[in-house]
Amino acid sequence: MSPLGHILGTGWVTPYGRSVSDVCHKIFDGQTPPSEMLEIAGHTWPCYRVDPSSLPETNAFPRLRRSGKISHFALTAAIDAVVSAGLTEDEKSQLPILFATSDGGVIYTRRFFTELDARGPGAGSPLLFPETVYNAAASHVAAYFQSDREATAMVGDAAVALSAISAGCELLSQGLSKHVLIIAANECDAISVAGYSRWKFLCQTPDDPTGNIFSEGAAAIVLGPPRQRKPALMWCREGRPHFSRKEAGDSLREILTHPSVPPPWIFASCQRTPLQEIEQEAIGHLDGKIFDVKKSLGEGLAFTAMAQIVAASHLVETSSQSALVTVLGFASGTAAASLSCR
Amino acid sequence: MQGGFSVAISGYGCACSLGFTRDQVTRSLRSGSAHVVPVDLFSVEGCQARTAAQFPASPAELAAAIHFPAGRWSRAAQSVLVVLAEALQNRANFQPDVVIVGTTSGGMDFGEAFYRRAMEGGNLESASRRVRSYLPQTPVLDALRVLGIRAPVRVVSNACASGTNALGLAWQLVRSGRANRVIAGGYDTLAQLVYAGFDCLKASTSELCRPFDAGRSGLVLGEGAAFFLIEREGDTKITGYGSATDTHHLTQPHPSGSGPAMAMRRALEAARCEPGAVDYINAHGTATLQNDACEAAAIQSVCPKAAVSSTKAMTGHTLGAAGAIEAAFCAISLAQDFLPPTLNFRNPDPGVTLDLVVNASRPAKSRRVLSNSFGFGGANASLLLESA
Repeated sequence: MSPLGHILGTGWVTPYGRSVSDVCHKIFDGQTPPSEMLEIAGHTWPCYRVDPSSLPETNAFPRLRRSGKISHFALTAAIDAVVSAGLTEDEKSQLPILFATSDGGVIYTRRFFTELDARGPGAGSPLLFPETVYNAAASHVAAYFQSDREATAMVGDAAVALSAISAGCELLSQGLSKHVLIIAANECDAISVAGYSRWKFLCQTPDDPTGNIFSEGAAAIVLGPPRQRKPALMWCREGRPHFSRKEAGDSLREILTHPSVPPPWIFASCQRTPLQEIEQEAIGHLDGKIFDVKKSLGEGLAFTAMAQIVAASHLVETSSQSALVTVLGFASGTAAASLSCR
Repeated sequence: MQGGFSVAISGYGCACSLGFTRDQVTRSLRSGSAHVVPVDLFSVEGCQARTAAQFPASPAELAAAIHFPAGRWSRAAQSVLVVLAEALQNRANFQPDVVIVGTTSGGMDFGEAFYRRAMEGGNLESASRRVRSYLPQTPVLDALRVLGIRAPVRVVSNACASGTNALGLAWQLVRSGRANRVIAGGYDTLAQLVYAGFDCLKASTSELCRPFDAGRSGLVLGEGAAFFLIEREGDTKITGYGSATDTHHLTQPHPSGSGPAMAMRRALEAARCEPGAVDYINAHGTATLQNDACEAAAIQSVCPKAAVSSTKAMTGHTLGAAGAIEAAFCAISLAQDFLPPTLNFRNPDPGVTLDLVVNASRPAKSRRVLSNSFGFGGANASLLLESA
């Protein structure tokens, strides 16, 4: 099987910081960062936030002066991925960008709508509205790298991160680009947690044993041609949408039907959630050691799905082994990917 | 580009303010009629603009006739079901490898309702039932499920270029052989948040939408959906797609029109088509001062001889659906031998020296037509269609 591409660079902004190796160490140790509380209309939920002081480059980028946090996260992760891939200036200006998100600029969206609701529909802020569009972060990243190639935003549950990787691989395989930058990001707002309450995959309190703590951040990868010791993306598949627990399991099993080599490591997505059992059943026959990214990084939807890829890439690169990443989204999305350095 | 398989449209459905079926839309396009009305879906108090190109009736009844519970879905989901059902008419066995959809705001009206319920306090779990319908993938997933299709769904949200991007990505997949069959298109329905957003940017007009007119004063928002069955054979070919990012500003295009020009050139290069071979361009043509000036400059630099019109004076700007709807108009134009008009045109802009089709449709047998879509974030996309 020919690889779809090679992961030449990775970057992320997480509640545990930006260093891929340091944060991976914490993930593999099962450590958890301190949580903060989100509040809306008398309801509270815990969350893991990113330390704003970890974003000096983007704070200095004039175009982001008034932009939302999600754009800062996305650009910071993108810068680190591009730097670690060692791209030249010319290559940066030729980079197609795929940006995956679940909630987009939800903080500005909620603030904008709050203004409308309080003061009337004619009182919206022209500074907030443009940053509410899903592709705002992708546009800012393109502007930073001065790339005139496509900058495409994709929206969905956590599985959208792997859909974006698939779309990026298609650009490579068609010879439309030498490299592609793929980013996924999420920002925390209480309105999001309130909205997700019916799916029961988020913690209600910091000590809640069910669910994961809502979180924010961004993760990014640069895909490109083979390079020594860089992980190969062997396959990346999107599953059929699921509308029940049974369909979720069937969908994941379908795309895991023929993994070429059973991986020693599996980065799963549903620990402590109502879909945990379904996911475990689907991957159980592979007999790999299962890693839990969300214990340390929380549930950041598209962001944490891409963080699973970054963590898997780090482990694969440092161990010359292979790994499987599985994602079962809360809203019908299913995807999986296989990485190898063999 | 690897592959090189032909790509064609084998079926499509389209709904907007001009009607809920291709036939209704074709008649309105040919006769040059518009359906821009005072907004009655939500309050526009305090807004500069007061009108929009709403659907001619609620899509609820049509959706319920296909699947009774759909009568209670979001307006977006209802319109998606109606349009997908038309696209799949007589093609019940069409099972796509993937579905690619452009939208900017999903079921935003349900998101707004959730926000208000959440802020009132009370039972969030009950209120959050509305959130499922807010998610941009939900209208498509629900409609596909009713129609017996289970394929991965990708949602592209590149502002007003989303629909063209979705079709372009589908074109790439089929052309390269990575997919045999794709459903692609776009949808967006009117929502207060988006309406207020364009109003506060002073992009909307309080009078008529007059694309490319010297006295143009802004856009009128609209709503709609269009979906296409894309495979190797069909009545209309898609032969080229180009996209480009203009990094000048988040909401304003570079005045030179370099971004749109680049997207158009890339579409033509992908098709190996000479610019002079393009007969007609369905322009993005929002009727804002900046868009039309920049797009006119781009068209003048790339395809100066093509006939040009903007159909947004008829349909309003349907945002994430616009690219898909206007691609449908291009397919209609190729099949029915006429060019749809730019309505409400009064005075030529001295800076615009295009062959504009104004106020009445023009009989024309076209071979190649280009559809332009540009959006916030500097998203620019062009799609080239040819008669088979």
